[in-house]
Amino acid sequence: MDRFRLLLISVLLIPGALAVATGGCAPGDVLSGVCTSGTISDGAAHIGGTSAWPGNGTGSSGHGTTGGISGPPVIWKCLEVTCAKDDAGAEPITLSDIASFRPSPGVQYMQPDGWMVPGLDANFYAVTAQHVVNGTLLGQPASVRFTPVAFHWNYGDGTAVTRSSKGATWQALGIPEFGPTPTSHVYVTEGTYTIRLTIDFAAEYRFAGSPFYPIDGVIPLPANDLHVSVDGAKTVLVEHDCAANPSGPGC
Amino acid sequence: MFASDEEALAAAEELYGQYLAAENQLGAGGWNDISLIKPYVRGAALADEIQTAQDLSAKGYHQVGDISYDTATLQQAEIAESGQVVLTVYLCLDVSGAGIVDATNQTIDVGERPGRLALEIEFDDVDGDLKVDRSEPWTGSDFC
Repeated sequence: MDRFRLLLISVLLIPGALAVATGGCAPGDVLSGVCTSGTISDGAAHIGGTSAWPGNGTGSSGHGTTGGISGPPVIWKCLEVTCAKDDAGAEPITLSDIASFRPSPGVQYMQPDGWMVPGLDANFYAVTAQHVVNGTLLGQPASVRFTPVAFHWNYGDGTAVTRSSKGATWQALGIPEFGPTPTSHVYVTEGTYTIRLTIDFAAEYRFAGSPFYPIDGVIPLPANDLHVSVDGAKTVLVEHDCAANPSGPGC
Repeated sequence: MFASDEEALAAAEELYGQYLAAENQLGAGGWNDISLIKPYVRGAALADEIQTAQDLSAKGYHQVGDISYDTATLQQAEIAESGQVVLTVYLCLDVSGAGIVDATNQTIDVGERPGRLALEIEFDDVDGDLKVDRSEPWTGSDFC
């Protein structure tokens, strides 16, 4: 089923007077006008908010960073606890705000660096990790936690694969050079190739000290391209033989 | 665990009905006894409940009237190889018959809060114990 969402958090934000919103939407939250949700679009995770507090008749102003979100920014115009306990008869001002968060792109590397031998494994791996991007929403701390969950490699020779692992160096894996790894690839034809990697990031949001709540969907984010040449193997002299240096090149 | 989607939805509805009954009891008591709802909710949803209850309790508020639900439909039922079941259900939460009052029984103005709200509820079972694990507003088409 399509789980498209229009974003939006409705939050309660009365500095010093009211509790701030937690994530989610329990029955008590609905009753007291405090619910949250988030969405992903255009390569970013978005959370938004609405608050109401005692007005002074001078209009409203927003806080935080704004993002490129379409759709209605307000679910509820007035949050009852606020209006009753803190309004003191004044008309509430409703503020809405949207904060957008983007993950940091990963970086891909390869072994050997920049060249390959036809028929032998070339090892590709990405450097990326779970990370938190902090911001503000309506003047309160908001964070999105990004987790790399899928790695789409296009090897430039007509082969494209999706891996769940970001890979690692031969050394880290304890695999001999040119040995197969979970993210290695074998080119069969000499030539020059461009390797493209796109990493899918899952996102979770947190607002004003709430637990992290998952946001539907993933953010696909390209990493750097690699340009490599695949040449035939040539015999070269290296220092020591394999008996003297078992970890040497080609051993 | 369930022989059909209808059976899964029935189990989810039975649990959610018990959960709301406990939730109404919790609110009527001033949100002081969170143990009332613990048999029905866990995880992120429970953390949310605890924080909300602490906030409202600290203000001396309590609930009058009951929260109810209707129009429950099963979005999906996932059954893992381990046998663990995750049910996702859409429903309409109705708070139009409930409100919040302060310690002097003065009604708290509810402003323009909607009386009915579409929610997406996730139930999961741990060792056969089905509970509400996630509760979020549904901001797709409003079926309530």
